[in-house]
Amino acid sequence: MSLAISYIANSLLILCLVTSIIQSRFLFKIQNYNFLSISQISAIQFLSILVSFFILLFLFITSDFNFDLVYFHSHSEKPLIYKLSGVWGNHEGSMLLWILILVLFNFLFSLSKSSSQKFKEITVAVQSLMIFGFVLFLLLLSNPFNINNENFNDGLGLNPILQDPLLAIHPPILYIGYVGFSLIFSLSITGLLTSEVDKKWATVAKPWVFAAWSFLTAGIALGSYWAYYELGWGGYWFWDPVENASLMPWLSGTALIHCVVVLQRRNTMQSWTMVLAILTFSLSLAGTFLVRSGVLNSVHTFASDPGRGLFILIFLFIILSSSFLLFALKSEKINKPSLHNISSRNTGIMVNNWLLISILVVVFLGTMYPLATDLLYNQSLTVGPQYYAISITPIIILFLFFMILSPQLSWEESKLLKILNEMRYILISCLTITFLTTLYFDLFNFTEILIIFLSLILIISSLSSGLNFKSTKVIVKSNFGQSIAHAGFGIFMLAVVSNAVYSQEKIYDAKVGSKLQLDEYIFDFKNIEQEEKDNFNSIRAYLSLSKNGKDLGEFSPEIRFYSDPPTITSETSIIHRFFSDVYVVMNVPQNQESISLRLHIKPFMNILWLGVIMIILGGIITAILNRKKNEENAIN
Amino acid sequence: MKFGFVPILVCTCILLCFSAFAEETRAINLFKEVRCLVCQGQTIHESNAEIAEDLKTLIREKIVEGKTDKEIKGFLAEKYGDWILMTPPVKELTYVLWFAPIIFMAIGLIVIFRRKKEKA
Repeated sequence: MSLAISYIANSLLILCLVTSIIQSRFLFKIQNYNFLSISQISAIQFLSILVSFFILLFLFITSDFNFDLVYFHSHSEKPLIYKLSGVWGNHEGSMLLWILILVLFNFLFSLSKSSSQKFKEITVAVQSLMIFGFVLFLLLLSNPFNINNENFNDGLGLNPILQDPLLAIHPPILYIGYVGFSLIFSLSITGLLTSEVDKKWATVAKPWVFAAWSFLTAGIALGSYWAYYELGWGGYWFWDPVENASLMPWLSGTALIHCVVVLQRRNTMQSWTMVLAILTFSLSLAGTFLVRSGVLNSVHTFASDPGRGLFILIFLFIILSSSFLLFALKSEKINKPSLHNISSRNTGIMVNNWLLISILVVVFLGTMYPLATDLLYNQSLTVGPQYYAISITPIIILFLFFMILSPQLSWEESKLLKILNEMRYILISCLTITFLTTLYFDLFNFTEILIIFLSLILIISSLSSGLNFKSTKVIVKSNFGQSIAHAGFGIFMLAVVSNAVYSQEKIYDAKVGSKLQLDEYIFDFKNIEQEEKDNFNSIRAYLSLSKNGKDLGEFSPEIRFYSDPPTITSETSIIHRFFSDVYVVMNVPQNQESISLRLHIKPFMNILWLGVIMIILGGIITAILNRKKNEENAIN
Repeated sequence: MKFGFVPILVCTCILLCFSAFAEETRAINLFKEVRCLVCQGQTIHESNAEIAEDLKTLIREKIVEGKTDKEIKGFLAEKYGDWILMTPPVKELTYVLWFAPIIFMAIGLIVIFRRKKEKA
């Protein structure tokens, strides 16, 4: 039975491999095969992977331990949802998921009607070439359908720290983002091959690039939220190498979406857009490589296998060298002379593009430097959060400034004084608010005040630019997505700075019955209990929170001792209040008498997530609005 | 003026409390700057491994001795290597790390504004 399933699944993968070769025929000018249309072949590609993915799901649900993958990564006693998420909680399964999304994007694009037939053929061909590479990798080096000949009674389980509903959906969302950029990459290669990188190209690419970017943002945000409540280290971003690996494509992707807009509106910045498209996808691939290969130590590392790392490295090398070679050959042809004034929106967007790439350089250096010094000089270094804070802050201040200014500038030429005059009410009100908050909260750090001031202006000016207030009606303008996302970024920055300034924490060695205090909050340590659950034992503490005599809720932080594999995890307990989160983490008890509890007050966390959600929404709105516009244009 | 010493006593107590408080804040800030040697990626502030507790005690002692933050960090770096510090010190080995981004940014901005001016 198992053998038969394995054969079927492998044949499906080979079917996809073959159809991908057929699809890439357009690259080699072989046109005489017209038995099936491109979208039909794309459907076969998609279905073959979809079915093999469902087979893998089925194997995990039924706990078929004859398969290596199920044996190593699942357990019969695990709840169903974690059996399912176990499918992508490992290297082979996550590669299959990656490929599934790759073929899905290919299929969706083959159905779209926004581009010419020839353009579509070549894009699908490039995409299929990539699918071919990845399916080959899956078949040869990380086959999820390998069978063992032993009869195991039960599996080896999944890392309990990964047993979490958010983590179950985090990888698929992140992958949709990563892989979405593969389509942009294919579009760019097609644009370069046909020397057609212009307004039309941008119109075709825009909804895809915004969709991919929104998913990437959402994926990173989910991971960040998971780290915030699950790891219990009192933060939402740790500059961990794996987090950085996902932030880097996000930074260049953010630059890219703005370039695509400029290209669509002004027909300039062709080369830079191509560079960013290639860079973003390469960084997405490198992200996969970094995460999966085990080069970087992290909770995300599934398995260390140099062969797989090498394959992705070679793959990356081929993609990078061939696409930049193509770019070098064609960049002369695609570039149109650009005529625009220094004080135009182009300049503003270019500056911020460069600032985003500068932040990318900071993140890249911070991530790679310790590896480099270790290899070259045999000296170990630690690059912690402080390095990023120091290096990124000056860039962010400039970035905020140009983010406020650019949308106010017109595409042709603008007088700076006139803009200043138009913005005078916003400036004065923001200055007043900043001044009052500074007084009220005893702020005296100039950098913090400046960031708060700039963020406030950004929020107000962005919101007011996206909506048109006309006596009784509120009209939503076409740049609504942009205005929501920009305001969201302002809110996000405001929350980040305030959170950094006003976070408080304290560690107590507490006994049952004692009252602990942090700021104005009183934590009443009521009880401690030991429990035995299905797959772990737990120690749970019970505390109640009150402020000025008012009861605010109960905490129940927990320490879990898993037996299979032996792991200890700490479950945080959070009370979300509107302006701040209060949370309690228990440390692993060292003795019987007292329990070490860490209390945190994290102000403005809700507002921080609100900002992130607005950024994601802005991206989605732009993708959808643009799609509608495209369809209207196609009809006309 | 029989109880004139009371306000003085209270003030002294408050001052002592404050200095102890300030020392504790300094200590915590330093804990966040020192990496736990046995646990992955955690600072000694976040860890309660034995070595982390030893290091915390060591840092508290140094603060009481009147050492500055810089001296304490220097001492730790000399004893355990730069690796123990969460933020790498600025020295020959880390020049690129610290200054490359800012130079990179500056060059780009200069190019953008130069080019535009010629065309305008």
